[in-house]
Amino acid sequence: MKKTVIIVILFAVLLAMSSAYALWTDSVSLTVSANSAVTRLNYVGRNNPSMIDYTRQGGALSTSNPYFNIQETVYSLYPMSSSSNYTLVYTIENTGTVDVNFDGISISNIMYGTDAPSNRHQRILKSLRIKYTLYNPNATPQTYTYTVTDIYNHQADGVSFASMLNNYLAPGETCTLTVEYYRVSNGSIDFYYLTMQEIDTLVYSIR
Amino acid sequence: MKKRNMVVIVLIIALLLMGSAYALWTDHVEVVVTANSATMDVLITERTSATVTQTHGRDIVTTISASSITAPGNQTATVTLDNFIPMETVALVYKIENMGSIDVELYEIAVSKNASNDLLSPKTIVNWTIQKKDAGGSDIGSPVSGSDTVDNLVGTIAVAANSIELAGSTTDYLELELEMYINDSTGVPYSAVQETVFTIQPRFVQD
Repeated sequence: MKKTVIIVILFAVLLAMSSAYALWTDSVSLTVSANSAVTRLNYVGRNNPSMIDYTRQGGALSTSNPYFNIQETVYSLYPMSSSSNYTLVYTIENTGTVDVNFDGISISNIMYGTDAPSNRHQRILKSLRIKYTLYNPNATPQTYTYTVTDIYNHQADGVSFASMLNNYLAPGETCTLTVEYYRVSNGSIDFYYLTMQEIDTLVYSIR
Repeated sequence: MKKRNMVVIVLIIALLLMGSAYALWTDHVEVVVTANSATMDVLITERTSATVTQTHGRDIVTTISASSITAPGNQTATVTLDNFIPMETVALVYKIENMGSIDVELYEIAVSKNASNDLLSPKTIVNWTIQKKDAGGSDIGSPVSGSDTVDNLVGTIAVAANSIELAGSTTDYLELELEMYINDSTGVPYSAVQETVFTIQPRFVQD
């Protein structure tokens, strides 16, 4: 009987010990918070000449598929007429969280119409000029100008800003993009009008 | 009756005298027992490395800010990555030491996430490794490691018994390495901040 009591007491002690053992755990914690960068350009302003309809598409930019689209429709351009030269000035702000580089402009979705006979369409389109001027205070040189001279033969599918050094925009900074549409005189086609629509994509990437 | 009373009185006096005598004949010795319990104290003692590498060929934009670790160490640590983008990899290395007196063993790793707008967790890959090292930085034994998205890591990861043990008050330590990147083939199409917050918690038990 006495032996049984001793065994029971020993078991109880062992149980108490194992209970205490279970409490001895410890841990360390590492918490990681990750916030993505935001690449985003927005229009701060755009002048608004008459006779021009426009739509615009802002959007997210990426290093693999960057885009910032400007879609303009320009009506009834006549050569050598000051009233038919359209100049659009876009003020663009970096509203993202990181610096972006301007790489260039691509031109796409060109559509045109004219009242000229079809055999003169090519000549009329070749009279069109689109002059792009990027002004960026950060860049060297600060101004880059390129004039598209032959849209018909797709010789101006893109414009590169490669010659500008430090052509970047930090968050909160602005630059301007000026786009001028006009025609040059080309004899007998001068009295036909040209209406055209195109999309300019300002290509940029993380600096 | 008188006789009996007398006997009782005599007995009481005798007892009182005995008590007095007993009180006089006492002595004692003191045994002072100082019991110090074992301690279990696993701490993050140092952030040994924090680096960002890139594969996009441009300047790195991801920034790292971390909570400071004060001596002898912290049970928790936090780190924040801002402007985290695809094609950049963040690597963090933390030192974990057993500052307690008893041996411990890594038995599981718990991962949890907690972000209000957690859009990055499905595409943030975390490569984690825990390696035991000696005071000189040489590996001891094999590491435990894993790799998956934050989403898939959430839960507990069991560690095989006796894989990673750390003696008490030893110069050996554990190295926790986290390597993180956003696995998003579309680049950085984020026009708004995306985030993820997750906690990785190595858990230890008395060995």
